[in-house]
Amino acid sequence: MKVCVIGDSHLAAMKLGWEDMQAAFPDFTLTFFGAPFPLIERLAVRNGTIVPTQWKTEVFFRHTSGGEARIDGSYDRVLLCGMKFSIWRVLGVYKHCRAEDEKSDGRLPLSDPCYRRTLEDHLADTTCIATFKLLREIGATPVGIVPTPFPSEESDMLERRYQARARGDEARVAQHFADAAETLGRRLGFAPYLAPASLLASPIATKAACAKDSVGLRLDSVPHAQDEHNHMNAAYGAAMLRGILPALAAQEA
Amino acid sequence: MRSPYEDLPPTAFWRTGVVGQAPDAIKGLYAKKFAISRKTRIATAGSCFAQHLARHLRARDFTLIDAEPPPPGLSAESAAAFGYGIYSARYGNIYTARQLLQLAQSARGTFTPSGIVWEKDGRCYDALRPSVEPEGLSSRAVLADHRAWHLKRVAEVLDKAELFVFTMGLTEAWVHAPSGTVYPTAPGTIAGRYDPDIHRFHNFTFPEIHGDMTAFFALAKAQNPKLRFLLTVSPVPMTATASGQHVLQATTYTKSVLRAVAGQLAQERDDVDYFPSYEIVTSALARGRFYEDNLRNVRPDGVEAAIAAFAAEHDPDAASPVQAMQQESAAPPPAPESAEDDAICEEILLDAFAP
Repeated sequence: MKVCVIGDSHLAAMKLGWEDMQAAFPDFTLTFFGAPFPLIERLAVRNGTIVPTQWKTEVFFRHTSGGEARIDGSYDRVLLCGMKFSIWRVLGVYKHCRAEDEKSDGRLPLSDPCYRRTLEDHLADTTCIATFKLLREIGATPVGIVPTPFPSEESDMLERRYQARARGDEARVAQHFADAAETLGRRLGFAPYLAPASLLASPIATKAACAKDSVGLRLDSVPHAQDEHNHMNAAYGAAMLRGILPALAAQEA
Repeated sequence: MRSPYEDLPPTAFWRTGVVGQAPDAIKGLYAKKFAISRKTRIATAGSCFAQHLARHLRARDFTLIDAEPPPPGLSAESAAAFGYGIYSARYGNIYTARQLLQLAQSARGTFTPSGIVWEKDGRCYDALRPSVEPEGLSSRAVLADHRAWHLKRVAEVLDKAELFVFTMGLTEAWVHAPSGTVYPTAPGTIAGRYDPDIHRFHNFTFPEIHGDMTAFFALAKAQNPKLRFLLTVSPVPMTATASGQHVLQATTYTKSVLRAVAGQLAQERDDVDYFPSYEIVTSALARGRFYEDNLRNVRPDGVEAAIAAFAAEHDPDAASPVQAMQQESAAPPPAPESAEDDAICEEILLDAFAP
């Protein structure tokens, strides 16, 4: 099964993970097309294929794919990674708004239908979904979406900015994210693949071990600094792919 | 022998003032009473037609107050569906002067409406703005919470505005008889249940509307003495009448009373101006061309003709209405584009009850 994997910097974990585990999946061939944000935004459909519109993006695509820069419709499945399809979007809404069952605290009160629609619209307004729409212009290949990983449990940004733990709302935020991804997936026609509980330290944080020794999506593959808490390592990528690939293969064509 | 009509300008005569004029550019129809600049903080409210005025003013970079903006991430289309970005706060359409007065009184804490929770399929709807939550809310407590938030925003609008634009829409209304609370639409239309023992039909008269508007002005100016008002009358005919009259007669009565009140208020007050969008759309000169085929919805060029007359007085150097709307459409619009069908209008739901 030929799988095309498209993503931003979070694609690095998947690519490195695949290199470590591909022997266990001999029926799969994965081709990676990655470029850091915002270069990954510079895509367009031309002559039935998705092509980079900027030379820098093309350089990254050739580097990550092993020479190819155009994405055609020949793949059996497509996996989209990150590209702002992220829990951060939900946290941004959570910071400013509250759902019907949350107590009054100065945040904008929203009806549950409006809260859901806000999350769906916010996730839909991402490069990930824009890329999904480009894919739909060139064919009907089944698509899975791997959201941007939750930040490491060692990241202080979660609490500093959002206080979801202090409010006891981590599980609520995670559920909002899962529900919105699921609903949007049903509406647009993709399958979301969220990280399994085994990789998580809390409902909205990844285990610190998954972020150790992560590598940036750069042409020189320089490791991230030790205080990098948003990108994951090869082991995380491999664990994700082990769960995703069988399900992706089972997605109806 | 001299006639008192001898020295009057061409605008004073039907033949020169109307016949032969372009319906979308009637010379001298509107002369401003006071200046409105792009920096003037403008609040908008009123019936469906007011949505168009607000949208066009926004497109022309006038400063429209939005005290109740949508949540971050909600698309423009979704925001409009939930009543965001349409008016200066999320009050939905305000069709009658009494409804406007009671909203302001509620925001100032001098009136407590009753009978305002309408239920449907286990969900609760705010009867005073039923269109802003298309699926309702989960409980009366949540509705009260949301309403309290909303009224604080309405108070902000009244405090911050330098100009309050109100489009008068209807004289007919349904009232919660025990409390006098006026609804924007009939119970049982969007939600709730019509109960003849509680709900009463009322067709407001000239003195009542004049009194309500005067009371509203006084209340709004009590904490914001420099506030001024621009009144318009919606040219959109009634969808249905409960008056017992033919709907054409009822529409003529309604619009005549509203137009008369607006004119009276503009004559007797320095802080009230009347803008004749009603005349532009409905006049014989237009020969009905500004209406859609249903003879009710106003076509986009009708709205543009009205805005052009406004802009000629208040924003003469700006782009044309079409250019402004095109420029606006290049960026994500805060509300749907110009077709009347995009206006959110509870009243049209009455059409569903037509035989």
